[in-house]
Amino acid sequence: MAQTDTTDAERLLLPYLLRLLPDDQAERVELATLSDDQVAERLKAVEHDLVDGYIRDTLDAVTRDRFESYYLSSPIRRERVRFAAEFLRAIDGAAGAGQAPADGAAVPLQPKRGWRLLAAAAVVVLASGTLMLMLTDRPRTGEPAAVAPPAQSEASPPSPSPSSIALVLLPQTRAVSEPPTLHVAPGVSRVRFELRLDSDDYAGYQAGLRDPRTNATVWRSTWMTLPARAGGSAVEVDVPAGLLKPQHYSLDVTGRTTAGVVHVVGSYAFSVTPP
Amino acid sequence: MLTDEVREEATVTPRGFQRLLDWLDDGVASHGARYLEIRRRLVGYFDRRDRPAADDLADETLTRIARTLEREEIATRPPARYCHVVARFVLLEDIRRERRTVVLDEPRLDAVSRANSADHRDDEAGATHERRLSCLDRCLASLKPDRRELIVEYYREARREGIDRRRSLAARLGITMNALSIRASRIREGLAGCVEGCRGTRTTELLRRGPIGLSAQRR
Repeated sequence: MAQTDTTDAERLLLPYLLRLLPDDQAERVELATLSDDQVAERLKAVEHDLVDGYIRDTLDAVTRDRFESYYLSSPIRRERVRFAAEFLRAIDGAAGAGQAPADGAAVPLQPKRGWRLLAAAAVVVLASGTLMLMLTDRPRTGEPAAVAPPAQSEASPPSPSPSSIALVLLPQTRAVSEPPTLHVAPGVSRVRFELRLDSDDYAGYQAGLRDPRTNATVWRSTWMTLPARAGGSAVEVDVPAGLLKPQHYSLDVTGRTTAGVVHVVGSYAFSVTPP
Repeated sequence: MLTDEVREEATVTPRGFQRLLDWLDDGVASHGARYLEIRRRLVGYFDRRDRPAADDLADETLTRIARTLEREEIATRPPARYCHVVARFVLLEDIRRERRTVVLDEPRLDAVSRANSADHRDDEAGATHERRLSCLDRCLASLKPDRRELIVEYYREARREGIDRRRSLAARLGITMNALSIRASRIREGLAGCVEGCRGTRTTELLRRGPIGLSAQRR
């Protein structure tokens, strides 16, 4: 293929990938992408950037809409997006090694949210050192714990109630062998989880508490939008403490696009110790 | 959705498959890599034309070429150009076939719907996801340090300083931005192949069976 044709084809690769070209132009690009190695390589690179842009939410609104209405309509292309999300997560994990706290590392909750954490009773750093757990306004002696029914869910992150504890979990990088450990003291009725996200690509999020022994989801939040917050995105959910037995758990976060496509965003493993 | 008539044609002897591999290599032994690359391009071609059975149609294209090669030489160069010609015929036939059968072919819609549900179930289960993450880690760790460093640097979160970082990476390596993007993309594709291999999926199987296995599968 002549150099001018190649350059021309390269300029058209992005609209070609989004099927925005008229037939005659699309056919020219098609021939180039099949028979010209250089253009085929460029097509891959442009497609990677496009998919990454969608995952990282850097596409402009028009491109994003087209991506969701056309590109995501094919199972083969959805599979590419899925792989790209995993790939980027692995890359960010590798890039962040040594710069960011390790998986599950202690991240203090911020007082700006009005959680009277610092005024609260205790801060417990467990033996693993991977999790900071804060107790807020624990009831004084004899006050009954209000255990929420198993099926309860939240439409939006509720205000922290008395008898609750809170913890922050970072995206799993799979570099840590032991999951963070949670100790639920008597009298605690809810555990608020703040599940930090690598990105905020989805229109809605849902968290499910999974028992890995049975692989059953024992509790699920409703779909929610992310609250506006400084310092990165996070899904915040209150899990009834009564559901948490001494064992391993996983909180699985699912994201839903505006087109209704659902993807697994991440899993946050932790274990509960006996009271 | 291919007809019985097509199924009958869709057979290639091992000799035909070998001739196909040699022809695609075009004088440069690639040990099957070229076949996989052309097949990947063909799948992309059919997929972008909204063909639900893009994999089958890519195999169909290569099968026809292999059968031609069993009978005669193909003079067209590069081979991929000839693949495009055949692929267009296969595409048009598939579109015609779809038009003829669209009313009675509701199972196809069901299949798509089932596939979407299956996607969702997979997501929910998370087992596949976990397996792939584990493979991805393993494959990433197995890269040579300089290649690993390149893709980490190239693809890491780039919201703030991405372009500058890529530019300085290209300068450090003494290559253009265009060459850098292609180099990073190649490593990434290699990683995807490694993940598939790690999961015991596609690549090895595709090379083992060629388009021949497809006909056995359809029968």
